[in-house]
Amino acid sequence: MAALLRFEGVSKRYSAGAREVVALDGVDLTIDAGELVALVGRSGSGKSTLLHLAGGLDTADSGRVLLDKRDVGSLSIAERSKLRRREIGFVFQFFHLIPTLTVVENVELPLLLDGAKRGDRGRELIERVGIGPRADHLPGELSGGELQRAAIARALVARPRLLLADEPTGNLDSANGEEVLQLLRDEVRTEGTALLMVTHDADATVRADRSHTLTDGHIS
Amino acid sequence: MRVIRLLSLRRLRLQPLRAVLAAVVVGAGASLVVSLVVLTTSLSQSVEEAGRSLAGPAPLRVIGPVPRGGVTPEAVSAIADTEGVESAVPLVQSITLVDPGERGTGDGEEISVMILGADCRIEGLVGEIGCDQEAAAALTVAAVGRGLADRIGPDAEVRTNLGRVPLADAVRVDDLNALNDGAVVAFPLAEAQRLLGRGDGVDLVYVVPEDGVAVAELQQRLERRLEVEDDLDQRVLDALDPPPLIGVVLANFLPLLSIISLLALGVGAVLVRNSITLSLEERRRQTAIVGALGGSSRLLVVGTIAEVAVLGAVGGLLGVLGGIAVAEPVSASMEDFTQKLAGIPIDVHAGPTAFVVALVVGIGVSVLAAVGPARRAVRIDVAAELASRGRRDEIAQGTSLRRLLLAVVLVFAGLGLCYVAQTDGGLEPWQATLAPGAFLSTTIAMVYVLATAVPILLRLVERRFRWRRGSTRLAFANLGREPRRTGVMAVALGFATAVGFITASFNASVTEVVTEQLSRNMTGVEVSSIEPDFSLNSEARLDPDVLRELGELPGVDRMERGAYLVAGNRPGNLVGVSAYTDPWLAGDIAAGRHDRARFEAGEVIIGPGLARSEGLRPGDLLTLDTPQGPVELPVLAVDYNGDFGGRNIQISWELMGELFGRSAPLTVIVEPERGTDDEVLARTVLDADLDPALQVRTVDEVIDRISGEVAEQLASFEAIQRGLLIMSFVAVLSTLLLVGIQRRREFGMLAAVGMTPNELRRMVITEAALVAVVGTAVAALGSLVQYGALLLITPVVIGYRNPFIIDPLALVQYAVVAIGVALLAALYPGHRAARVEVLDALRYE
Ligand SMILES: Nc1ncnc2c1ncn2[C@@H]1O[C@H](COP(=O)(O)OP(=O)(O)O)[C@@H](O)[C@H]1O
Ligand SMILES: [Mg+2]
Repeated sequence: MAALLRFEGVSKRYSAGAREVVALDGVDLTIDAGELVALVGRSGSGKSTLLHLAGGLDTADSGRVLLDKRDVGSLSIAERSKLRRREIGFVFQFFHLIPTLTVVENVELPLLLDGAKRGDRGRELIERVGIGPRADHLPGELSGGELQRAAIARALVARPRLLLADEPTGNLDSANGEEVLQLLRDEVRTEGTALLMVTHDADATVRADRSHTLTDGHIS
Repeated sequence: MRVIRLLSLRRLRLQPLRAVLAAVVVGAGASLVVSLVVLTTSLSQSVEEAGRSLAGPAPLRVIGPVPRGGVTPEAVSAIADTEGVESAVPLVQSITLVDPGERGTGDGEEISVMILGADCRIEGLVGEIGCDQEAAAALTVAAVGRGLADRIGPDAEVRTNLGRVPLADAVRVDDLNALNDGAVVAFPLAEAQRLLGRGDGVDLVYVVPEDGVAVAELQQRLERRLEVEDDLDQRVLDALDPPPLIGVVLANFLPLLSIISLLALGVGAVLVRNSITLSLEERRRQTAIVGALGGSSRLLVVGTIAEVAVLGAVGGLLGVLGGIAVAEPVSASMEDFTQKLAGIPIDVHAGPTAFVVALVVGIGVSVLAAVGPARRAVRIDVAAELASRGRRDEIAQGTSLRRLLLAVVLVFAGLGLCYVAQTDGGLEPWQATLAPGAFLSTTIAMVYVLATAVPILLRLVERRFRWRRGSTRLAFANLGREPRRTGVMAVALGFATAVGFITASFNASVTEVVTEQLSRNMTGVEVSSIEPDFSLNSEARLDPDVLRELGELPGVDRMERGAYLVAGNRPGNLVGVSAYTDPWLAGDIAAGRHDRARFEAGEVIIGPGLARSEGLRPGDLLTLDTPQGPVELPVLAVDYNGDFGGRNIQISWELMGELFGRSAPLTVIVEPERGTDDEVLARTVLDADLDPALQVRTVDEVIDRISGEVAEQLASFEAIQRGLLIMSFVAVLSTLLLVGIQRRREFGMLAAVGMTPNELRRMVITEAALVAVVGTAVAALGSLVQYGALLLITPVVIGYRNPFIIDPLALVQYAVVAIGVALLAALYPGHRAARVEVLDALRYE
């Protein structure tokens, strides 16, 4: 099977004042289509940085990030935006829903940005993630678990080939966290989407196809 | 206090952009108020300076019932004889033109000058100058101030009632330099009386008391003395009291400016409130943390108020600059009146009052606007906030619809009041009181309609059409969810559009009336030797020889004349009196009817202002001050005539001559014989070369001239419209920027799910465009209603009735400008949105 996402010797440094932080140091990583990969590591080990580079939210200092053989780093900002809109879904620890839009509008946002007609896809997904009755509410009226379900629905709405999840359960209690994880796994399997997920959850690691650990910017 | 400094004042340093914006917004609001203060102080100071430079040491002055020669020789001697009077200085004082002549410097244009008549008694004001009464009485030669002497050649002439008088032998007198910037021509008193048609009267008498005599006491004694001496309505004024006509100038400008500045200040207050709400909302977490740590709510309120007061003070100071900027053009247009009416130049003075008012207004309005949001912020739910689940206050759709309905009802109620204010001619005093209030409440209700209707309409537009573009749909969503802010931007843009449109339409309406009246009633050509606008008081009249020669030109049938003068001697009882050899009697009638026979027999037609203030109706007797004492005249009709604020009287030509004598005319209308064309006649008059300054205007040219005067008077509205456009630029810019600061996280989220920088920019600009388009559309409709309300009350407030004629092109033009301003204002906020750093924006805290 062809590689969907490929990191080739990727390094990323941050300079915080005089001090320089090496967030990623020569990372190589390959994820195939439909694969489910877990990423673990201590806080500050560079996990989020890796996800941001994969999603084109940031660019590498050296090395290449390839999505489908396209060098993400060499794309323009607008091209990277369109990439996220169509081929990559993001799920964040802090949900990041637009507070002025209803749940269904939030979920349909990537389609909306592409100028798509309003269809059933958004509501369908909202039903599937189990918050159907909340579809027309504003984010402020939802609980944390419900918000994260909405965020998952949004990440999947454009049928992306890669889903990036950064500690999606980090802000949820364990019962809710477990449910959300289950949902995430079910949905990527149903949609045939590859998933790269940062997690602390040992259980989640076990149920992944593969698991990698980041230690001070080195991957193993 | 340390805590306040830490929590609140430090924010000003951390958020310089926001602080600058808030200050600018307050400043814009304060500007108009300051400009009012600057204008009034400038006017009164300039008038006072002008008065002081003429009065010298004299604390009192006596004036008569008419400004031109109203003080009789008997009154002058009575004044001089009064106990405690050191000297009584009679003067003729007026304004006229000087033609600088071929060899004068400058562009050869006529120079507006003060013309004085004085005799040796002037020493009472200027001190001993070795004046010889005998020799002076024989003199006819003029004296000129340096300001004038430097600008004229040897062939210069001064215009008088008796034609041009050469200034070749004029003596240069430096004592005259302080008056009217030295633009002064002085004649010996008797010569001035002769040249200016004063008979043996003078215009005013300055009174210098003997040493140790109390001025107030002397004033009373003089008044008693003059009452006994004759029953003329002589009046003893403070020497520095402004000439009565100046009140007319103020009445022309101030009410309007006050209304506009109040409204502008209202918009400013809303904007301050807006930005304070935003900054408090942004600070919710901080507030909650302070609350959780045990900070008191008072602390927060006091802190916010302190912060706002600093901003308000800075804004107020900016307002001083803005106020002066606004006052400059308006005072220039005021000066046009004051120079032509009284020879008083106006310098813009921004005294300490302007600073104090600016600070009080800036701080006051900001603090008042901030109290509400600050108190609301105190009531936040600390627990919910720390769980980062703050709810935004949403206005339910039902509520906003109900508010809109209420506002519409209020508009109609206001219209109803406007209607009531003008029933039966609007001649009752309560109607004059009601009219401006009714109009103001209609305007306020209309502003509320604008603020509430635009968000609702945006929602309708959003649903009605299928918007494909994601950025457009998001723009709609943002606007619909923040109806208040949307409303503020809409009001700012709509207001500017409406003022522009209403001004242009009013102009069109007045022009239409002028055109209709003149083309129906005027035949022949108008001839004058001066621009007739505001020249009522000028002595630069048609030369008697020129007049005679005009009548003898081939093709001339006859000449129609008009006479205008001001009677009365205090601001409240001034009336403009007019008479024509061929009265049209074509005005719009408020009460009574135009019976030509009775008019010719001595009944008079009065304006609505006079009818209202004196309670006069057709059939009543009007008391008019004349040089022979008060006379009683029966009222024939009340016309919608706004000259002199509606305090005007038209009498027959005969009566005018009887009561006030004849003076040389400013203008005549030369009527052609049958078969002679107006154009041909105009040619003939010009070719005859009777006087180099002669101006000839056909009916169309007179229409143009009067329309030009109207446009000039409406120029201050245009300045205000431009000011409002700047306000709306600031409003849109500040709102979008502040909203952008608040939505930074949101922009980050949008970028994270795939919105491109261009789309982010487009979203922000689209928001502005949507508000502007829908806002100006609503404003267009609203301004039609407002214009209707204005036309209802103008007969009551101004005195003229005008037809509902609109200038649709102006509407389109001003709407396009407003939309352009909104787009321009959105550029920078859009740019900032496009440049958002996704990861920075998303990072929590
Ligand atoms: N914008 C930034 N500026 C400076 N340092 C950063 C920035 N983003 C991340 N870092 C640093 O890079 C390292 C890796 O961060 P991150 O990828 O967020 O780790 P993780 O997600 O594994 O906790 C950390 O030391 C962090 O402090
Ligand atoms: Mg992280």
